[in-house]
Amino acid sequence: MYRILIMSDDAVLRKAVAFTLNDLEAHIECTDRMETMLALFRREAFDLVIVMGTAAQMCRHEVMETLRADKRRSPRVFVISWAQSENVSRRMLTLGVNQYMTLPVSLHRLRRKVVNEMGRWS
Amino acid sequence: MELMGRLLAWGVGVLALLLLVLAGWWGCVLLTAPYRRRREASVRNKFLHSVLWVYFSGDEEAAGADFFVRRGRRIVAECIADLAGSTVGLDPEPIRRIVRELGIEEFLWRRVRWCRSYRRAYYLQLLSRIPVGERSYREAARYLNDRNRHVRFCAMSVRMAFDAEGQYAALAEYSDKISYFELAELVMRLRHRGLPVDYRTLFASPNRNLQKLAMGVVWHYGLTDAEDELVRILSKENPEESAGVLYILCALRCSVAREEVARFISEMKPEWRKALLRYMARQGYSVHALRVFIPDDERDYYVSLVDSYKLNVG
Repeated sequence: MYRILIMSDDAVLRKAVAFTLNDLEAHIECTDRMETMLALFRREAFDLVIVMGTAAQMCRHEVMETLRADKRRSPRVFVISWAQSENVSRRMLTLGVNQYMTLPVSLHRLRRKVVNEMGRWS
Repeated sequence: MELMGRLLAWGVGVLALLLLVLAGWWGCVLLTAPYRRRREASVRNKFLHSVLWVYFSGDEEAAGADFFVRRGRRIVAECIADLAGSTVGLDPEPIRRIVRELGIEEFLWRRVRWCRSYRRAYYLQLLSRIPVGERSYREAARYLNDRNRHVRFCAMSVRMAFDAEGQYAALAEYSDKISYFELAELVMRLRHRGLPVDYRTLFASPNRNLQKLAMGVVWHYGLTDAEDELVRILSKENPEESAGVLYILCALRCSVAREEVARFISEMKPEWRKALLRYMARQGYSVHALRVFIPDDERDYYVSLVDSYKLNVG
């Protein structure tokens, strides 16, 4: 089953995104802190990681190192953040993020992107 | 003397009793705090689930309006404000219906009237984030001259939220000079609207608040096309805004060797220039790019900054 990990310190946004995706054939886990997300990721295999909040958190070197540590699997990483400028989105893509979206996020659009990812995965 | 003694004893007794009651009340508040937090979180989850169900199922009725009226309209208002703040593209009609059915607008205005200072500003801020009617537009005018600056700003935000077309006029009439925190809030609201912003017209306006809004939009969206408009704002009569312009130009990685920019930086106060140099080093400007206006002693300082940031710049 497709496994999705959602991280956001905003409880409302976290629940909204989880609700948007809960009717998909996927197992969804949510967390509110980056450290908890990385610990969960090390313990279990996830196919999609959605990080919401500030893009600055993604620039910590241990984040992408952890997410890309296992060369046998390549989880997709979506980052959703407030920063709008081209520099930030380019930096995210350079770090290895697969999709960068800006807040406020369109839940319908996010769901479509996740469905597309699941289609590719299956 | 005896009477005085008796009165004093009575006074001390009453005071002790009051203190005891106060301590007891405070103890109850502390002990019940975890229970209240859990209950609030539960109501918040239920409401959020109900609203998202309405959006995604197309079902027109949000379940349990009575439940939410009894349990806390403040929590409902906060949830709506948070959801509206983080998401875009959702149909506003279900939220408007919920706000009408639960009487959220009237509830918040009652709170605004009863509270003072920052508490009042808090409820005004909630009003500015939920769909409101014309009544809120009229009521908010009363608080535009409040003693508390935050109340004045939130009252203006309520009017701007209702009237999208008149939002710039509302900002131009605002009596205070908007701070950078308030500017960030305004830029967020513009993003939510999703309407195009004619920053050139805002730059051309003589109103300082509108110019500052234009600066915020340019910085936020990384609009390098606005370099000429930014440089026109540089002026000794306006040192604070001009310093802001320099930081924006650096954030956009524009050339700082431009004559007006270089002249302004060279004439800045040394401590302001030093702070700017620290920012420029982080943005990756080379010493060569700054050669036109840095005195020799500051050049050495800048080289040490670049080395400390471990940047490889030419």
